[in-house]
Amino acid sequence: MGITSLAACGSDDADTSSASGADGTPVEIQYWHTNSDANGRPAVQALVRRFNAANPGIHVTERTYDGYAALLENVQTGIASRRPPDVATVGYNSLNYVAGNFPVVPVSELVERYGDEGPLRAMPENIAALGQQDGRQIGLPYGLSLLVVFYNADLLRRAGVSEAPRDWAGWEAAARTIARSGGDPAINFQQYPGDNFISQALIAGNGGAMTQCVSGETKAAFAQPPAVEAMSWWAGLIRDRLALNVTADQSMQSFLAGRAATLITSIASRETLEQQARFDVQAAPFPTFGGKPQQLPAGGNTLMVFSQEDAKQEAAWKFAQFLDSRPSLETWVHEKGYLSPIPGVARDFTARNPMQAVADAELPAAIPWTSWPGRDGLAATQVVSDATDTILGGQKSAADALTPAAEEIDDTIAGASCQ
Amino acid sequence: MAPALLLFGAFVLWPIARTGWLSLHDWNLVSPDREFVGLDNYSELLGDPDFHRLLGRTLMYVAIGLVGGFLLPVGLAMLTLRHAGRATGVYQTLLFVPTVITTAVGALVWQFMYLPSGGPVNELLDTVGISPVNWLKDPSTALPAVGVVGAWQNLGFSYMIALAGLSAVSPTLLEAAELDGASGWQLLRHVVLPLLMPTLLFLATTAVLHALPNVFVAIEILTSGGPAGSSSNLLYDVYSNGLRFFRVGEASAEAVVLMALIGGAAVWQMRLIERGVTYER
Repeated sequence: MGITSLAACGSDDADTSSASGADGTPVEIQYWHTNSDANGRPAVQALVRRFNAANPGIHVTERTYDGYAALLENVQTGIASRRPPDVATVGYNSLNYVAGNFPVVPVSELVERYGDEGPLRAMPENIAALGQQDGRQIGLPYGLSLLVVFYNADLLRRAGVSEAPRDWAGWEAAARTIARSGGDPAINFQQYPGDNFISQALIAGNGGAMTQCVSGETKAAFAQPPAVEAMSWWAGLIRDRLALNVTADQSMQSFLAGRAATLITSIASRETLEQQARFDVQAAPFPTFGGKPQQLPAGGNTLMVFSQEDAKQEAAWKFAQFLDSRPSLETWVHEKGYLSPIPGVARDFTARNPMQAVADAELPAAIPWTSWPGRDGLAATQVVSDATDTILGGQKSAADALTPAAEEIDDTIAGASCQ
Repeated sequence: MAPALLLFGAFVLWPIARTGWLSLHDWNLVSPDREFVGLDNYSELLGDPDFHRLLGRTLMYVAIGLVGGFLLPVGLAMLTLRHAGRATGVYQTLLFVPTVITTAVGALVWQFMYLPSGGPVNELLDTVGISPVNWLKDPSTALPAVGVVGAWQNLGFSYMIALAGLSAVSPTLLEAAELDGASGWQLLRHVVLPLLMPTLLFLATTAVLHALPNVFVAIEILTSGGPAGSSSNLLYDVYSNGLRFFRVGEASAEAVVLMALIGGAAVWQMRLIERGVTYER
């Protein structure tokens, strides 16, 4: 589906503008994000105030939604009702779906039209790639988080594990030690329903991939041997009572209750854990499989511009660049706890926070979080998630679950091109 | 009358007609390519074994809703009145508390209750020698576990209605029947239940109609329909297909089927009401 045709569809949005800017009134733009009052919204509001004060010709209004799925629902219905946001934070795992189905204005076009690559210039190649589809810059990487192993250092010490392991073999051995001393399953992945953050990290870490490009067409690759091996290993941990298989909230509850020795989740949970844990909580890097290189899907979001009218589009691009500028990122990293897509930002903050430093050091290993293309791209994610459920629940072997899931996805996204 | 009809048309009839129309298309709300597919969405649904399983799960939620929104509250109301004493107010308050707790908070509490290791439910089962159950991640227990949360949340409301209905039964009628030699069962069967019939039918109707909406938030927060769809139902699938995956045509077809099923159940229950209601004079 061509972005151009969708852009034409959305071009009717022009009449929804409440101010053109030509008569001296500020250009009104809307910024939609997912930061709740307890989770970064004050920082968003401070940034918006700072931008509005510095740019009297533009007035930004922010609006928050409860998570990326809710935001996407509202962007979709906003587009359908011709009231889309001008800038929105879109989760990395929806990038290809949004790029293929929504009238998003790619960053590469914004740079051509208005000049100034801005923050992109300062981003490492692998970070800039998080906002790309087939090499084309769709969004501006903004929110950034990576998986780490938070662990209960007190519990590990009591069990005789003096140092946090670095690889999965080490963690498996530690989990066996804890189990022998009567402890709960130690390996505790925080899996959110309907997403593949953890499974992709394990599959990629074992040398596999979620997708591959075959003769210019995107195909599922998660049924290949490295992926099957990684998922079988995970299921084996659960079967041997070395790992928990619980909901995301239960993962957090088990860890905070001091029962599970680890919580393997995004660094974005750091502040919550620091505030709520009644034990010595520390962080270790996401483990590797033997000598295989670390490859971690990046969580977080890109800034995407949806404005179709010139004045709003220019204002939206200016605002997106402002959010991703060094001074704004300083505020953002301090308040929200995300990693910075631009190196060297908030150095003092990272130096004071050893757990943040662990995730910061993982940045070179960041890879794009798989985002399935095509009209049914979002449903494809659910197919992988359902297959993961049946593997971890022990209803099917990894091979028996992943092979039909891959075939189903290949049917679902048939014809999705890639480079 | 006319303004009411306009509102009814705008907010009830038009959305129904629009949903019916969308169910004949393959569309994602925003694409300019809206393909008319006739009844394809319906034939695909009816031929899909997953959809049949979904219907089965929907019926299970309705059954749990009937227990939690009808049988249990009526039974508890009878017990409360029969053993009325100083603690009656405490029981009534405790039973009503879940209704005023927001579902999101209630669901979080239940996540903890259902923890496989260290969760109060499994600790309790452990005392009688039952092995721990992974309530929310085992496909065979996720649905009842979520259903219980929905029923728990709405028990208080139905309980209060049942209590009000029972309290309205005139004591003089009961005394007269007792003087005529009626036993406890005969009192219940021939005096109380007939007089309570309007309340019972109201509760039964609302228990069926609200079974799916009542459990919707619990599904979303506890399992999101998982594991592998085992705790989903038709209403939740309409939401997932329509607003998470943007398969609007398929979701609309499901919504039409759901509307037909709920409409059929409502008509059947209304007929029962017309036949079976006895009003006290």
